[in-house]
Amino acid sequence: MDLARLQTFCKNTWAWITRHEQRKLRCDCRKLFSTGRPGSKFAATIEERHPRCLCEKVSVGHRSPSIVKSRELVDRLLTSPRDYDAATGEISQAPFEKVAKEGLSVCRARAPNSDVVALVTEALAGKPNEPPRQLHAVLQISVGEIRGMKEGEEPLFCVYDQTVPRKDPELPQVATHAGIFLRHFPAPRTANRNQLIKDLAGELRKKFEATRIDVANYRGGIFVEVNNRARLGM
Amino acid sequence: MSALATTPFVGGTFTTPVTSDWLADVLSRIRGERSSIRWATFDPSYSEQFTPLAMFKPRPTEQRMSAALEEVFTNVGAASQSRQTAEVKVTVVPSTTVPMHGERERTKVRFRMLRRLGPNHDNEGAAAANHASVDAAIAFMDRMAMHPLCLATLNDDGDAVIEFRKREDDLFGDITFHSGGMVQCYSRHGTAPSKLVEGALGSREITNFLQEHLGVDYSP
Repeated sequence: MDLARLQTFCKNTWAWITRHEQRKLRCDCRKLFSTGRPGSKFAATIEERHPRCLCEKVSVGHRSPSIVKSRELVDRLLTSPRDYDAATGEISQAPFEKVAKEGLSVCRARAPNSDVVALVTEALAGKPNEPPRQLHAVLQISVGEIRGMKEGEEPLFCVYDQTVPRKDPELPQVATHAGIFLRHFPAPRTANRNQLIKDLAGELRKKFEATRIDVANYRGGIFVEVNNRARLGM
Repeated sequence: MSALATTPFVGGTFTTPVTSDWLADVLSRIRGERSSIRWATFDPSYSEQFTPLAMFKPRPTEQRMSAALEEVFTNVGAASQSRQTAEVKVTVVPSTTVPMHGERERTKVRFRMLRRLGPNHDNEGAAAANHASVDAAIAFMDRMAMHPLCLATLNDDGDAVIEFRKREDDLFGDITFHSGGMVQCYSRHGTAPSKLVEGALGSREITNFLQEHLGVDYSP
């Protein structure tokens, strides 16, 4: 076997191994992300099984259009009354601590209106004795900015194309949903664990708050009508 | 002396040169008097159409005001090609509504509203409001000297949380009300390391922490 053929053989074998490993990784990651509603230890589980945002390299969501690229924008939809104070416009930090548990839910800016409407209408459907819900505002951030938050060389957060099921299981999943997870946090029972989580959640909130879009200016104002319908219980 | 300094701000209509001092001045005036402002418009003198460049609804947040006025500043400056000579007409209409509650009552009313939230109220799996925790937070509100800005909220376990903010000092803090009269207090001040303490509400350690790190006077 001459040198050129040997080089080609090695190159093809390496490509095959890479493809095989990629397939295996995708399979493992998809399995991890398809286990229904994630529990409060989901962020820790991801880091334990696929550390250093390994699953960002493959598409993990069912029918997801692609992995989440760093140049993409993602939107945090504020719908629960606990997330904001409508009278002052203040945004609560508490929900951002989800990044250390089941993940912070965001919608990719590339999502078609139908996906965002599906997410919002399900979020606005409260029980009769509960306070009314509204899409209050949208916080937008670039994925690159989230991935750029590091401690030393280590990224603090991972962003996955995590799709989510609808309330009606017959309906297709919301394919353009994404999840943000804290990956660099101390183990349970570490003395200052809560403190570090609050520090990092606070940093993330500040970045999200920098770009706030009013409902009237979001996606051509289509959610003004959705809010009106929610107010009337329709 | 600027037009802002010589004219009554709320209820006034005046034309003012657009400079960086103007920007700082108008922001400071709106911030100081926002509770009495119904709405405000900023109309550029060069504009043929009577379309406001910025319009503020009641109780605008400082962040939104700041972003919108920066935009006015840039747009007016660009249109006139000289920020020193460009002018805008500022109209500030006083509020016709009388606030029903002070900040303390408003925060308590908000806690009572949050108390009604059931499981998965955020569609992301948050627990229902913990009634005992919310009641403890409401009782706490009656025993604390009011902090300038606090936000009633819940964490994902349904526990009541009071968040404190003082933007000018880059201060953020919160108190989480756990069961059995226990609380967790957190404070972060600028770039200094944060602080967190857990203990019984009313204990010396917690009372001191509230006073020293959050500026909250609490009488057990």
